[in-house]
Amino acid sequence: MSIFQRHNINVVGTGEKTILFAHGYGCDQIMWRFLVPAFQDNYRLVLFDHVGAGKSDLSCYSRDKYGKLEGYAADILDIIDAVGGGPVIFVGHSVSAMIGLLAANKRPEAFERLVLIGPSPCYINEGEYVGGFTRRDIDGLLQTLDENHLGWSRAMAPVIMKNEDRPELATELAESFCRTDPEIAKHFARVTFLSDNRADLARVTIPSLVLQCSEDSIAPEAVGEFVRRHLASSSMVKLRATGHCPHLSAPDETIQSIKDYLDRP
Amino acid sequence: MSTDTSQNVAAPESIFEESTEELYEMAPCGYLTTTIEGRIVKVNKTLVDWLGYERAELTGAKGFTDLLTVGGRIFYETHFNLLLHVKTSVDEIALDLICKDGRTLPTLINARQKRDSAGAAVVNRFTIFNASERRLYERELLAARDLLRITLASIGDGVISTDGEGRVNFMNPVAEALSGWSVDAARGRPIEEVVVLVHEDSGAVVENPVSHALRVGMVVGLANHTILISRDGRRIRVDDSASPIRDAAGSIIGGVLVFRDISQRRKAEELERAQQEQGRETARLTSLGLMAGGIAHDFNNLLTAVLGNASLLAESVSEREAGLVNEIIYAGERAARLTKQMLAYSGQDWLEITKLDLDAHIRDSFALLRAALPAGVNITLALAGPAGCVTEADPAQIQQVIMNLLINAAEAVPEDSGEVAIRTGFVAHRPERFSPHLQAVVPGGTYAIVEIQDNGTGMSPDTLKKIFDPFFTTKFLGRGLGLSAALGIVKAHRGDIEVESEPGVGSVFRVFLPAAHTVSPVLVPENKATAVEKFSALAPSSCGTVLVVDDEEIIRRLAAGALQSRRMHVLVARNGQEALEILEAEPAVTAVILDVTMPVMSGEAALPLINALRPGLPVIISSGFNEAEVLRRFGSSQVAGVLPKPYTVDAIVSKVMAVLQAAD
Repeated sequence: MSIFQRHNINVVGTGEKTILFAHGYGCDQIMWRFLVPAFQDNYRLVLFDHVGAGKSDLSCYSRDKYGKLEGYAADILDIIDAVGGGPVIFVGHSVSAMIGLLAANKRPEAFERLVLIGPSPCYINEGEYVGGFTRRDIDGLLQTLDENHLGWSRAMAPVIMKNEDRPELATELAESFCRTDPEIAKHFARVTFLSDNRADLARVTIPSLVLQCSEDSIAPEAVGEFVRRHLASSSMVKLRATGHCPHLSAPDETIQSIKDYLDRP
Repeated sequence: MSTDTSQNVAAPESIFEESTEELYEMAPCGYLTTTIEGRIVKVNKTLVDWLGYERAELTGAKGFTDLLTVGGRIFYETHFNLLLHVKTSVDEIALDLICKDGRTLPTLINARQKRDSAGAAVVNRFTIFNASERRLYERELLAARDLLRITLASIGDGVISTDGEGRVNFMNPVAEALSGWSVDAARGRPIEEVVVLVHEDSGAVVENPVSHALRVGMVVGLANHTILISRDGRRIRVDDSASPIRDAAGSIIGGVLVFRDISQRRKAEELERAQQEQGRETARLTSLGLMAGGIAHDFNNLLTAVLGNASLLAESVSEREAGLVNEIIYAGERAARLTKQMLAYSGQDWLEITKLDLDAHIRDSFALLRAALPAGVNITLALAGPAGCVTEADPAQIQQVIMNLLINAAEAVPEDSGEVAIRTGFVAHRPERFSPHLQAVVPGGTYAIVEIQDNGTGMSPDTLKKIFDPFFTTKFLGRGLGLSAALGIVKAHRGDIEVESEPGVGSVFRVFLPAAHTVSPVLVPENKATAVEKFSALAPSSCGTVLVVDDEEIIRRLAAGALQSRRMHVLVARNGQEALEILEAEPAVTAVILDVTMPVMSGEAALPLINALRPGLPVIISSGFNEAEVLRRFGSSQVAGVLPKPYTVDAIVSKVMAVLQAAD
């Protein structure tokens, strides 16, 4: 089993520099579809699915390895090695922002810059730190996941749609979007939302950009500010876009913010 | 006349007319429209009523996610909204909405994303169905599913279910582990492919019990001795059964196989059988030992009389008649040697323990050993040196063991090209092990080894099982006591014996004797030889009165004759009781020769009473048992010496005189 098969790695575009896009919890590499066209002419783009998501090889899923975010971070380094060794520009959404930080701490020379979309080092409230959630809230998410299993295959099944507006959104690719094994989804949810990587922020030496949405209920602005404050050589752009997925809800604004950052010397 | 207007008057058509607004507001489902950012811009009356809000409290004031539970909000942001952006359409998502009064409203939600002509998302539209009852039902289903899953996962047996055509649709974790198939990989495959069963002996594929059960519509048990071949090639002994699964109408809709790994159970059963067989073998050998010891003990008494009387007779007959008497003595001594072998096997032979350098001992007795074997047999010595080959043993007995093994080897090899090797060595850490020949556990420790190897005919496994049995022999002239005696001697030395043999190749006998520095002596050595030497040269003289206690008349007569011939006064008693009576009446008794096994009162029972009646009176125990056995039986009672049966006239005289001398 090659790394390419394990992670369903796709490499598109041409350019001297490589951007590695890492999707967050609940989805897969298709979430980058709106960003790919904007960067593929000037960059080499590497897209992949975390093991357990999308079209990754589910047989490689190990509850031990993926019981911590470090397991996913090790995969990031494997992927970078498989596509040439870096250094790469890492674009990570949500939990993958933290996974990228852990990988960068492990091997800084493999990274050139980090773009963190909706990062949160800790989702649980603890003392004066307000991550936004309690453990009970995470139990509520697990119950919601459970209640959507019955209709999971149907809800996630191919939607026969005629999308003339966005021909790049091929039906075939949309089929698998968000589809994953229910047990893996719940395990990844626990690992993601119960992780605490606040102590890892201070160790990061790679320059970084935090993209913070307005009204992000998953990673509130205070959390984004916490991240920026604890990362050396970091800056933050507050987007007008609301929610947790600006690259889907406001791709143009997201693309422009990333381009502005990458164009900076 | 009355008129029924209810049948004839049609309802006004206006009743069925609904405005678009009415359809939207009063629909039996909730409608909600949000901006792409999630802000609520429109909501119908049905949803407003369900949630308990004023319309103005929702439109423009709240976002859709404000109506969700926290868990639902995370799900919306990580799944729902993403799907909507990618697919523009999402159906039947189960989410709970929070009403104004805090109640939660279980709902099923469909959503559509409207795009403008440029493809940009404009609004999200949600259709919301009240799913309170359905959600309760689903939760019950989920709970039942979880209970079933946990139950099946907790069962120690493998469980596989199939559809009516025998295709796998479920496996529990035990079934996955045993078969080597994951349920995902096995799902949809024929049961015969996932559960491959073969007969333990023939290897032939056995009909899968699920297929059988589906065919006959009955519960089917696995055949005995069935082996499951797992996907990764493991062979696992299994048993159990398959049943058809029937629906409420009784139609077969599938099958279920329940199976378990019985490898451990089988091993336990085999172990139990082996232990039972071992127990029987131990009992058999114990009986043989008792029988051999009993016969030898009785023969000793008879031989004591034969040899003793013959030696007395030889002193008083003519030279010509003395030759005949010597023949009697010669035959008696041969019989005594056989008896000694039997005693050795039973572990009751006399042992004289001393520190023994095996190498030196073998080297010194090599000429004797060599002479006992045919000239055509080549014997080689490979001695390890004295460092590790010192043991505490009876040299004569060990020589007997080596001699017996050598004779056995010499008889197995060709007369003209036989090769026999004697090797010594030692093993520093021999672990504790069960000796099949001794039928006992031999403790671990440091052992000296004597190895006798031959290139003879070898032995079959069946022969090998019996070679140490007394009277078992494969030779025309053999008596079958040599190896059994060797085994008894080794056993008495707390050693062990191993045999390897292959027909046509030869045999190796390996004798293990505890190394001297790690072993407590079996017996406390009595400097008997020195005593015998010291007193055998004494001139006969009147030495007082000796009481001979023995239930065998011939022994009493022999002992009396022997001692009287040396001018001693002799009294006799038939048992311990008579002995005590005589001792009370005859204070002149200066020594007692006491038999062990007697009717009325045994020697064991009498000795403490004798000690009490006549403190300091020397008592010699006369017995066919070895000294260890004598000391064990008599415990702390005062014993002046041991006189092993059968004994000669010289032996009894020397022992009595030595004891009397020591008492002076």
